[in-house]
Amino acid sequence: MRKRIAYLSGLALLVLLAFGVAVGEWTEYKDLFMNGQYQQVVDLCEANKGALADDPGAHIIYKYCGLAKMRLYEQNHQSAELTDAIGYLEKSIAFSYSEEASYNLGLARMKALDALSEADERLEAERDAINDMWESTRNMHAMENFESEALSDGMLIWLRDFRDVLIERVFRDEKEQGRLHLLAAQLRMIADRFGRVDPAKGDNEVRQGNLKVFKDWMDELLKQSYFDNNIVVGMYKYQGDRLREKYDQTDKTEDQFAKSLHHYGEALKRVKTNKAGAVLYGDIAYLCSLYNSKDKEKLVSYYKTGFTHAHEGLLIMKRLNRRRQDSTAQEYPFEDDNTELTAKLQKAYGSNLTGLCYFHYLRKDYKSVVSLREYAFDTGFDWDGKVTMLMLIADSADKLASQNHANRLAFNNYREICLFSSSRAFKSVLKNFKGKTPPGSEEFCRIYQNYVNYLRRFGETIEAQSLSLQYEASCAAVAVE
Amino acid sequence: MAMKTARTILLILSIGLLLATAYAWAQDEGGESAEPAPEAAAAPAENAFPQLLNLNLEWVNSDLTRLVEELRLAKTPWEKRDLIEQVEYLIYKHVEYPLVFKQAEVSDQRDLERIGTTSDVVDAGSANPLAPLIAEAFALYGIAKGYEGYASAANDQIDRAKKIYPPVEDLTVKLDNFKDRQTIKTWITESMGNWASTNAVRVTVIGKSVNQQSVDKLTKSNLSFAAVDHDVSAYYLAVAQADFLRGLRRYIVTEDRLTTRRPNDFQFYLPPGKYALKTDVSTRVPVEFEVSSDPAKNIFIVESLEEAVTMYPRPVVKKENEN
Repeated sequence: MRKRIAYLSGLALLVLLAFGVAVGEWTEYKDLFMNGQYQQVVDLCEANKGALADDPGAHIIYKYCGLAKMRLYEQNHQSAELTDAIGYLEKSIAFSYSEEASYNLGLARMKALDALSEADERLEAERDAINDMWESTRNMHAMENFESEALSDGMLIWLRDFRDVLIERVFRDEKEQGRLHLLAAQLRMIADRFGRVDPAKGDNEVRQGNLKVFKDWMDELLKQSYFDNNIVVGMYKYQGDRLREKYDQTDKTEDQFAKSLHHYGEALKRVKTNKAGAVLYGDIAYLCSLYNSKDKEKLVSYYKTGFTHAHEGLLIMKRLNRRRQDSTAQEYPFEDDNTELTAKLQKAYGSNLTGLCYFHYLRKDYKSVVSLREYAFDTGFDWDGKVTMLMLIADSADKLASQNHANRLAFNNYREICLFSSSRAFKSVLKNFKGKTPPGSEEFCRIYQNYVNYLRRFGETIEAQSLSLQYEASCAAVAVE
Repeated sequence: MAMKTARTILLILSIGLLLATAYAWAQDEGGESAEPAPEAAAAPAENAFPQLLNLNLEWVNSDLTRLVEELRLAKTPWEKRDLIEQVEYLIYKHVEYPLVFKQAEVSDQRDLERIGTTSDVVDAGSANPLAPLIAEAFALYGIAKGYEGYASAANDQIDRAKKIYPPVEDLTVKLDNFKDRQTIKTWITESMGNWASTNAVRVTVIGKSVNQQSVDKLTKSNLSFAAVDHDVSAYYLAVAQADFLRGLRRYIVTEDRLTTRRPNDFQFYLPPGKYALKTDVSTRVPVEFEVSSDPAKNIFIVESLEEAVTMYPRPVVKKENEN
């Protein structure tokens, strides 16, 4: 009897094992997926293809098969993998609806849109995909009791991805004016609903940080959706800003710098209003001022780009400020403040110009340094490093004067430039003390000393003598490098 | 002996099946409960209803406003069409379907259980706290149709809103840039200029014995309206086609989609004149029908006809004492 029971139990166990091991438990698929072993998930899915439908956890297994295929598509960009992903996710939903499967199905369909050649078919599929994703997101929001102040991390990730695919569609559907309206409305729906998070409601500092970043993104998304009254321009600017955030001034993230610049450039190509143009000139100028590389040629090139864009932006702002003295009308909603924008442009202007000047100087390209003088002399505003730049111009002109000693015309020209530039630098530091006797600071004394030296060298001894009487004593004790 | 062997095999199989079922059940239980998507999500509180429904409607109205905001910026009718279709999708999905109709299709049962339904709102009128939100949604739909250029459809939707919540025009909605609020009345008044320019009249269609298979076979590419002996813009015909197909798919009472409140009529709008309803799936169509300037006379019956549908005027039933 005992033998028979053992025999029966053994057989039953075999049946059980056969049943359980045939397709593997859904947790096996999930664990592999969570460990990033997407190919193994897919291999398992393919191996058990015929039996998956009979598994009680089929909807979950199909979901992970679909998600793994999507990850592989993101790595390899093979459209067949995307098609497979869509197939698996459709099956998952057919067995049992889940927000995650539905959301990812919408995401996969969005990525597959460009394979559709017929415009009507594509637009219809696009709307369906948008609705799949938005419905899933709304359902998840309902499951979180429509919480507005704190969202789960899962929601934050979904919304980030949803935002990104919508923006990608904005770029792709540029010629489809009707669809652009829908995409603009959809982006604002996200910004409106989910921009109300309160970072302080996060459970810990990490969550609070995530919520803060997310809130800033949503606030900007809303604002930029109106930029230049054109969603395409607005989204190019928005993505340019996001890519700039990823650039940490190292070679590792230089790609983000280039992409950011590309996005701003695309926005600038399409811009219609003056104000938006000035904003974009400012963005490009600021981005270029952040650029850092060991490649000096690149540095010079980007400083030049940044400087010319800031210059253009400031010219626009000058026109706008003249025209708008009596008018507060905005060209588009959420316009940047004129004063703040002008200050931003001025800062970027100075930063790029000084950088450009410095690298020309390092390369001993003194003529190029001197050629920048008009941009430093006639600005009517100051920036950090302006005095340094003026002194670099003066020094370069001094060197050029020495090189052209035999040519009186050239010599006199460089002499004038040197004296004028060093005089501007001196007056600029003097201005900081507003008429009071300057203390013997290192910066003041260095510039004073250089200026006086140039005056003496070029025969302006009376002026040099006069300055010496006033400042020599206070600077005598200061060590100037 | 053979009998004994057979009994043993049967016993083994039964035990195996039992164990397998138990195993599968355990898997299923574990699978469902241990698989949050995508992160552990909070279940709605037991007393969340109707607060969730209320919030859902608030958000839907916010979404509708964003669509209408873009609609007023759209320049061409086709641009507007793209937005109107989305408005109609939201209205059906979140307002008409789960709220007005008592019974949901199985695929939407989860939404229904999670968010709830108040099919009594229509009857309860303004006494129901959800009535203003539902009325607002219909009013926004009306305003959207107004911007599209369909005065008659706009008025129909606003009348529908008023029946649910009479002071609907006093409600305020968020307008451009999420900044300003404006009453629905102001919005309607402002856009009256657009509405007055249209002459499309309501055509009511009543479903009768419509076969689901016939409906499923009809698509934008095989069903169309055409004007007979007069010119009508392609846009009017395209909108009528879309309304007709949507109406058929959503409102026709079929055996597997029986509901207690689902109306079996729907509307589309066309300028007065003679029209042909064409389908490629049957040789027995096109059918011709005439749209009168009086919407009360534009009531038609739609019926399955082999693999297509046919449409004819509703017979006028005279009372006994009438001549």
